[in-house]
Amino acid sequence: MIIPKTIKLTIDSYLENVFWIGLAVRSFCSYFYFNEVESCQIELSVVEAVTNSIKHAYQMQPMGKVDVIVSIDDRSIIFDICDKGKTMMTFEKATLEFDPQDIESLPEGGMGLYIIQNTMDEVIYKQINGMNILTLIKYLKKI
Amino acid sequence: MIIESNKTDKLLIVTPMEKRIDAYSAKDFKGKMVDWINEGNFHILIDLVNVDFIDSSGLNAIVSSLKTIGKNGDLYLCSINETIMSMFRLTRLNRVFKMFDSKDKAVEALSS
Repeated sequence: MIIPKTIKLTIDSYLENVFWIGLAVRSFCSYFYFNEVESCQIELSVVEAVTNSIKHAYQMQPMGKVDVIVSIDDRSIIFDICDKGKTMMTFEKATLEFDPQDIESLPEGGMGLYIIQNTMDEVIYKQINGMNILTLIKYLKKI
Repeated sequence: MIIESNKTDKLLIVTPMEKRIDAYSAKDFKGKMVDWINEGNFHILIDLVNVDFIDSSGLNAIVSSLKTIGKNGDLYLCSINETIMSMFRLTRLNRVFKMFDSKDKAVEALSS
């Protein structure tokens, strides 16, 4: 069967809409032979990225759009999460340092980027013509 | 967010009835947890039997609940599916919470 190489999903910048992106991503991943855990981890990464766009780029203002462009090639599935909100000031390797025995040291934020960077094979952030684009790449499994 | 609650002698058992604890629902979830803690429930078991997705906001809400309980008690988790457990492992939060396979096993262990 010939399938399209790219599809674009667009939501208004409301948190309640992120759920629909997650459902679609999980379905794409299942189709392309990722197992249930992997599909859920990829869904989570895309959901985290879209949530960041709404919370931080649009700062919860509902007038924005978030596009998720899903592309597939011979080796990978690629998600471009695009917004026109506030630019991410820094994009560095996220860390998650805490002492499991010391509850005061436990993180209450900053886990999203850590999850993305430790789940996806490549993570790239760029700005093009006022558009913030976070690209998440997961290599396809050889079957 | 709909969360059922059930009190035993030593535990408050809370059961989220929705499939997702995410950025949209986490604030509501955290608010209800804080209310229960402020009512004096310091040993709480969260039964995740219905939940198949938790994002970082949901994890933050669970961590925040544990911090609110502090040294007065503890927060326990049960019925965690493999996908959610993989997130706990990735973030190392599986080393923070006492986890049980099922509600029955948790109640049995925590009531003795």
